[in-house]
Amino acid sequence: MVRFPSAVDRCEQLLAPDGSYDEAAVEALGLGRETLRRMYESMVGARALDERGATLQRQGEFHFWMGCRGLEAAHVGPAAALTERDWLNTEWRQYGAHIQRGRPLVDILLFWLRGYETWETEDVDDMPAHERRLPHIVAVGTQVPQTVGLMWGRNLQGYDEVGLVGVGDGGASKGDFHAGLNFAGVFDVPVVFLVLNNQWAISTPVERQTAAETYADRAAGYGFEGILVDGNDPLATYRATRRAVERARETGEPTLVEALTYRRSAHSSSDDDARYREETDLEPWRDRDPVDRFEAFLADRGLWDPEYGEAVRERAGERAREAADRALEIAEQQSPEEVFDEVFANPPAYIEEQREELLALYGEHGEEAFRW
Amino acid sequence: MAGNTSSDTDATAEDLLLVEAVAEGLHDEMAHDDSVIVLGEDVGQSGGVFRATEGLYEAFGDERVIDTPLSETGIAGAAIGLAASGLRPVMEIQFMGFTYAALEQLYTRAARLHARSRGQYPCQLVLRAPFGGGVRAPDLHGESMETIFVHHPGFKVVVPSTPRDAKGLLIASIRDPDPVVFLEPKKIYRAFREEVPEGAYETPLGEAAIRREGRDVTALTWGAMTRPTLEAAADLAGDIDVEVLDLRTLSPMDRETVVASFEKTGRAVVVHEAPRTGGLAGEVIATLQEEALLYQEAPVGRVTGWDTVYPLYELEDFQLPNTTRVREKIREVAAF
Ligand SMILES: Cc1ncc(C[n+]2csc(CCOP(=O)(O)OP(=O)(O)O)c2C)c(N)n1
Ligand SMILES: [Mg+2]
Repeated sequence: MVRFPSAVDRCEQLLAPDGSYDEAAVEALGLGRETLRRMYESMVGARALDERGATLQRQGEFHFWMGCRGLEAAHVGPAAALTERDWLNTEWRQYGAHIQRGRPLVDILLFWLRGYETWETEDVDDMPAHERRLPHIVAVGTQVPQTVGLMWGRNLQGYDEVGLVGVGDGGASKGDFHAGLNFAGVFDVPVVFLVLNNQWAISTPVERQTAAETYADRAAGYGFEGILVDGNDPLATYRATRRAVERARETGEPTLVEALTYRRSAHSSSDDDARYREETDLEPWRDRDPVDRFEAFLADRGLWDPEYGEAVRERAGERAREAADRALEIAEQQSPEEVFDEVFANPPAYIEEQREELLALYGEHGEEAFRW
Repeated sequence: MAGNTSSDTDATAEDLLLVEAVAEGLHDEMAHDDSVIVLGEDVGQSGGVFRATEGLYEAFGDERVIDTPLSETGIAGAAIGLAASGLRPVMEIQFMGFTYAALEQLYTRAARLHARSRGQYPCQLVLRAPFGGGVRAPDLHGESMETIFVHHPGFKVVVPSTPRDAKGLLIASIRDPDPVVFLEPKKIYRAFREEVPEGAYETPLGEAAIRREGRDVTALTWGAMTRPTLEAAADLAGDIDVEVLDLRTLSPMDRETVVASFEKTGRAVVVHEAPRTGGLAGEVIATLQEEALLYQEAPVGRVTGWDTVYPLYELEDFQLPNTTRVREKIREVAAF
């Protein structure tokens, strides 16, 4: 079965799959050479990081990995529409969004190697774009109302900032999704809800998540606009999000942006997608590859040639390799006492007692005794 | 009453992993009883993320093996309604840490439907979830939340530690008229094989298993911790004679077997993965205090997870009790 949803025809699109485009619409975006190339480099960067992560997982260096192949335009375009002061909470595999905002690759990888994240900047007001996020969350969908609270709070304190929150086609089935959108509508919270409809939640196809044709249509039920965009078109995801961000900043009104795309990798390194889909299901989506499409567009604008493309890919691969090596090195340095770090801001005495108990056992019996 | 530990050979028995025994238990009970249905995330065609529902979709079709939308609230709420309608739903929560979203449904309805309808509506359902740590998975994939279900009136809580028990206890759980939380120790899903009889059979709920007999110290545990506890007992053999009890059903707990063992040894160590404070070890110790105080020879030891936010990946080795920690605690309790 070739999966090609009827909603594809309803999607906003600037770049056609073959790279041809609507000249006037592109001009209207007013995007300069630097911005376009930055977006392209983020997309290629995400792909390179994904390849590196998957390879290291296969080699047993990483415990787990989640791929982003084919999703780069849905991840990068919306992030490019934010300003430095805005906020971004993502679902797991939105590497390109973080890269676009300048987050160091090591930092992205360390989440997978240590399970926690660290911030360089203490004062929230001084945080650069890539730090303006909450730590990644594993309970699918819970980030939606949390982002609403975060932006509500920032705005109550007088900050003119907008939040973008990513959630999957699966995550949008959680009650959290409803609660978040409803709160944002009721309280006029400047949040853009980005539904990354990649048509799969592990092995569950999107028809098992909703009987509706689109997620964008849901917005009407919350009293705000929903925009359906071609998620493999980086300019369409950019434009819709920018419109939503501008509106949120001006009026406080939220928007739902649905990026319709397709998860081409297995769900994760633990998943075997051959159990629930055919190899041929992927073909139409390979033809809609976002990186290829963007390259064709950039070439036509005189912003891309094979040498430039090669140089970008090489640099991205090199950076991913360096970052992975560094992340593995850092992760190796973990020690047993970290087990108790930062559980509380003001730790009760028993935390210290238990830490001492563990360290005494470790001191007496050594590392070996703990590995099983 | 303690169950038997020796596995008598069955002519048609086959060697299964724990996860395969779960799948076979589901299969055999579905074949035996048309009203049993399975629902959850990715339980159908893919056979579940751990393959615990492997083969069911092919055998029983998509009306009885149901991939649901991604909503634990929805899964639990629907399971309650399905049970009230007269079916016997077995819901899978993909990892125990994702049960949190289902708690409102489970606490406010599943646990009290029978009471609040004075028996009019059955709530004969099973919640299956892989639980516990040790597989190097991301956040919320290593939780041990058994205590919260034991503490809440209205649930039975079952944790198998062997393939044979997994199948028999699961079938008994499906047949039990009350909501049962069935927790599968994922660390040992594929750790070893055991002979498992063919066809549907029950291993009764509420009975602990004596995994090893001994006179000096009673070690009580369940799930994946049974193995390091048995290893610790083996290490100490000849020096300290350790009796190992696998509780198997945490609610209702087999107080009779627990107390009888303690009356023999007068010393006990409780081992669980869950954090120490408010953990079930406290309940076991209270039971011993209430029922066997005069037999007590030493403070009861606890070997548990630490009171911390579950540390991930390499660090989980320092969180989980291991053979060394269990052995040293038994030594301490024996020497008191
Ligand atoms: C509350 C919750 N339930 C189940 C899971 C297990 N799980 C992890 S990812 C996933 C599918 C998510 O699908 P979707 O939201 O579409 O995001 P995608 O993986 O496609 O990016 C599931 C079921 C989880 N992490 N959280
Ligand atoms: Mg998805």
